[in-house]
Amino acid sequence: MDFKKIERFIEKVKLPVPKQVFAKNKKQAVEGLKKLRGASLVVMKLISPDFLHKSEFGLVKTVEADAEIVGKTFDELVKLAKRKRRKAKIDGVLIQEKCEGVEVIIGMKRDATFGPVLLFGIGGIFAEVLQDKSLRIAPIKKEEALEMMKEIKGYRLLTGYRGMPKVNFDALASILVRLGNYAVENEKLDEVDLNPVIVDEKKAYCVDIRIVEKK
Amino acid sequence: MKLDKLLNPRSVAVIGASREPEKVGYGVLKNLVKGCYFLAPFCAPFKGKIYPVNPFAVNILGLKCYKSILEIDDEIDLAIIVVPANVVLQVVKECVKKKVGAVIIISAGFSEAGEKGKRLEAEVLKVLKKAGIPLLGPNCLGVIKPTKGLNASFAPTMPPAGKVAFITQSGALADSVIDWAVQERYGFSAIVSVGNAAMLDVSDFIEYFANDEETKAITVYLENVKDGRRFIECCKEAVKKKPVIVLKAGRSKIGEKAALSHTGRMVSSYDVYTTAFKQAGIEVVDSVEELFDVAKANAMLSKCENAIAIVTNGGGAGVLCADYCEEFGVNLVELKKSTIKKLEKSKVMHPAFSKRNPLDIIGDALPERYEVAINTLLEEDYIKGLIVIQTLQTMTRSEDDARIIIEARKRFPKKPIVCCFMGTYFTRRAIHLLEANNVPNYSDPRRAARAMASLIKKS
Repeated sequence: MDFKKIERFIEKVKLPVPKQVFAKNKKQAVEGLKKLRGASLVVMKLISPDFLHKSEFGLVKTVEADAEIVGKTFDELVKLAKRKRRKAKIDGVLIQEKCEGVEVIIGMKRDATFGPVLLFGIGGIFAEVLQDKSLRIAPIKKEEALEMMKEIKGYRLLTGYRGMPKVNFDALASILVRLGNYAVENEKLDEVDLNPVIVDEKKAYCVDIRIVEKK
Repeated sequence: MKLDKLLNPRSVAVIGASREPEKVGYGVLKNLVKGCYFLAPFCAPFKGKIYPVNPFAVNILGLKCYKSILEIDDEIDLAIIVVPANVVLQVVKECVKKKVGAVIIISAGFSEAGEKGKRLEAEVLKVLKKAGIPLLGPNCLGVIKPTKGLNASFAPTMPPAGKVAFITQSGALADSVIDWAVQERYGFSAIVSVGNAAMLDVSDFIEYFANDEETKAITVYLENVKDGRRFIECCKEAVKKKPVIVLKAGRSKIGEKAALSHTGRMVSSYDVYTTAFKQAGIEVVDSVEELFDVAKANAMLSKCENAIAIVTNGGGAGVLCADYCEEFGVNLVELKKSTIKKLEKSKVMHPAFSKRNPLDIIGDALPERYEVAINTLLEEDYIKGLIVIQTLQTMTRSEDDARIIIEARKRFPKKPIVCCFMGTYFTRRAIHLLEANNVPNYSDPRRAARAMASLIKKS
């Protein structure tokens, strides 16, 4: 996926993302780490159009925010990708501040009959297995977004279940509303995954973003 | 577009009327002349004029035949076309010349039958559109308006008249619904089969029945919609006036484009349909039975707030019903102590009566006990609706129980009563009595709970 395209998308929809830097090489990775000051752990993700599912190939690693470790991990990720797919095109590595919280998925799919459809559900790598979701045809208002979140089976997981943080519903609702409005305006956009969105009492961060545009 | 000439014609021509009982052209004519092909108790002949058109026959079913519609010396409101597809265009042009008010094309062999048929359909549509004549079909069953004694279709018979309109994208499904409706005495204000919907589609009829005074609930069997946003807009308008209930077929993901995202894979086309429906205030159902169960309740009763009680003479049926109420989101209110006291004070309760909701008044309940229970609960402000269950015991007097419920229904017109007189054979008279007095009955507590759920006002 084109990383620049994602950055433009983040900017247009005003999506909240964790502190992050994109490094094309090891040197940029080590330099970039300075921008993530305050983070004790960082997540490093290999960015390549040849690996859509990064974690399945071990191309996502959580490490200490230490220059030496980050540099070493950069090399490891590139080496691993090359080993999995010899001819893989590698754009670089995304380094993000590690977020803690509940993982949800927010998505959009354009339907031929009804137009853009928004999805909210329990997120992460099991999202498709759990199929715990609720849908709305866009555009929606904030009240509808809040109602939509209450409809999923796992709603209790969002309200502070067994020591987990209570999520910031307003932050999630505003992502849903903005994504819906943007999809209505931009017909080229076919599918969007914000998965996971990691959310706690204070904030929601779109940690991984995928967009599919009409050819 | 005005649809009165289609749904309320004074004169009808059947072009392609046949003398052979196995031909569609005979069935359509007989349905007009007699009201139904298979004689049923609710058949009524069409009261307007009927003109069969067939160049080779002198008369059919006692009516004079005409060589062409142009030979008829009368205004024709509705022309029903049953001729083979290859002569339809010519016949349609004659209808335009005759200035008919509306056209139904029953004949098949159009867009459902390949490229050639598609082109033919487009030509027919062009001619009628230009003339401003509404078209139903082609490839459809036709329309039936039992309230007006109009059976302009090749359906097997005529259902009873009632308050439910049924719009269907499958004619064959309507055929069997009608057979069932005769057995169940289920009434329809109209049945419309849209066929290929070259001009008039489901949305047009939703719009029409929303403003039709005879119709209290609109049911739809749907396979696909051409214009999703328009369908939703029509439904949003309609539900302000009466409920719209939709059964949507086609849940399989086969044939759907492979998605590249999690979201894409998690959202099927059926999911999108039901989401759009719910957002428009449409009641979505899963089966033909549920479609007409929900419509029946909505045609007979008004909506209420979510505070419901159950009265039953059988513990098991009551518990089952309570389970289903929870499943469908029907809130069973806790009975207040004061209510229980009133029941105790009546002296007609069995000592072992349940004293909670569901209110089990025990198997030996005579009509008097039902009467006290039903009226005591409905007199309470905090109870907004009632499900009454009756199981058949040796001492049960189901018709008397029915009369008590009908009285209560009149006393408390704003509080819906849904009945579950279980069984059928020895209770059928009571059931007919209930339903003839706008109290819907269901033989299964699950169906009763579902019907009640559809009556709950959305917050």
